[in-house]
Amino acid sequence: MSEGLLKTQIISPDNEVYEGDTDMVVLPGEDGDFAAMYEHAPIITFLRPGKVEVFSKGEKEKITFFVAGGFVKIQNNNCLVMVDYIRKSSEIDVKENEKRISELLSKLEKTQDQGIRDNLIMNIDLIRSENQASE
Amino acid sequence: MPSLKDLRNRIDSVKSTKKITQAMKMVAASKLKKAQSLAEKGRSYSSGLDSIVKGLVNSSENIEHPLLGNNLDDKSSSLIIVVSSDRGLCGGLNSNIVKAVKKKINELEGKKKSASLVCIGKKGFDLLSGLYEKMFNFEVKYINISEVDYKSTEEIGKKILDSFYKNDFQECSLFYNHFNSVISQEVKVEKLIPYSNSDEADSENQNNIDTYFEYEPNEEEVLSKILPKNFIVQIYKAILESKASEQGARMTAMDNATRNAGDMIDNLSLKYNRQRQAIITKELIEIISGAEAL
Repeated sequence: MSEGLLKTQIISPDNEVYEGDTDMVVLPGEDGDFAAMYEHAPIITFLRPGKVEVFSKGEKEKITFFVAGGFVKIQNNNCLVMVDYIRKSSEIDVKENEKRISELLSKLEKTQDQGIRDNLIMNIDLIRSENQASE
Repeated sequence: MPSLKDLRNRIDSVKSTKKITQAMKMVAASKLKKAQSLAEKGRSYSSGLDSIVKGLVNSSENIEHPLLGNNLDDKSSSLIIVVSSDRGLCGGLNSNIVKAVKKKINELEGKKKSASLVCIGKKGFDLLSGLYEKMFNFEVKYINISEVDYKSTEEIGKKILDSFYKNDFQECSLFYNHFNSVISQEVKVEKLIPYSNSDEADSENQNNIDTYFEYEPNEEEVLSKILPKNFIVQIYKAILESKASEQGARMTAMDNATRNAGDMIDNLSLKYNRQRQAIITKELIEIISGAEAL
């Protein structure tokens, strides 16, 4: 294990969700999850909706977030995660989300408009992946 | 010379105005705190994204994207996004921005270019619609800034981008009030399309150019996703800045108004007391001279 630490910052447009020194951050990259540690090569890439796991310095417990896509920039041991929507996994209410999914599904059956349908399907997928991230 | 009763009425009305301005100042002060912290948080997001875009654009010279505008010769039409507040009573905030917009429109008209306007914030629309009614030809004329969150910004941003891809306009600039501090807000103009490398070459940015980044999946794809995103985020940043500016400006304006009302009350009270004394003296003289005559 390396001595150095990865400075991590997770921000959304209207909030700074996390800032601190970490041992490792696991990110849902578009082509698969990847872990970033100290001395990671400079990279800019997208995130797909999924789980971000933060292993804070010295802590045994990891902090898990659900993100709905975004960007990540790693440079000089600074990891900047920029997301549109983020939630702490511990705050996700699975039952509430399932209720919303069934509501959206019933809406989906009623509409014919392709644009609205696509939007609904996207929302449903997003909530489903949020639920998966809570486990 | 106004009568005593008139003066008393005036003092009362100024007093109640003072109460209102004082209350408005308090409200603005408490809203300011929240708006300011939002604006500051928004800054870190937008500057982070902006630095990525800058690095990308600088590192690769032959990348082409419509939003970069390097393959456009015909720049005849532009879209102007004006971010103002919904309500007045906030000093010169809205009139400053309108002045800047007017200047820009005159400039464009001088060059025989057409312009369209979109307002975020009702006041800007109120002030501009009388002058340039025809320029509000975009599908959205204005939205109230108080109702805007990131999601709705994304929606409107996408609409604007769609119409850009349809070639309805070739340039896009953004007018907003930048929040410097409670007492100072300045009008800022940002050119969003074509993406311009602003001249602020900060150290972090310099750093960015030097580092070789790995882009996944590749540079072009990253750029084509990040540019529209940056467009929306910059608008959102402007909205947050404007919201903070509005509260700051209102706070200062109302503070001044309260102070002025206080001065006015002092003056009026002085007048009132003088006149009261004058009446008493007059009555005394009448009584004394009446007694002497006996």
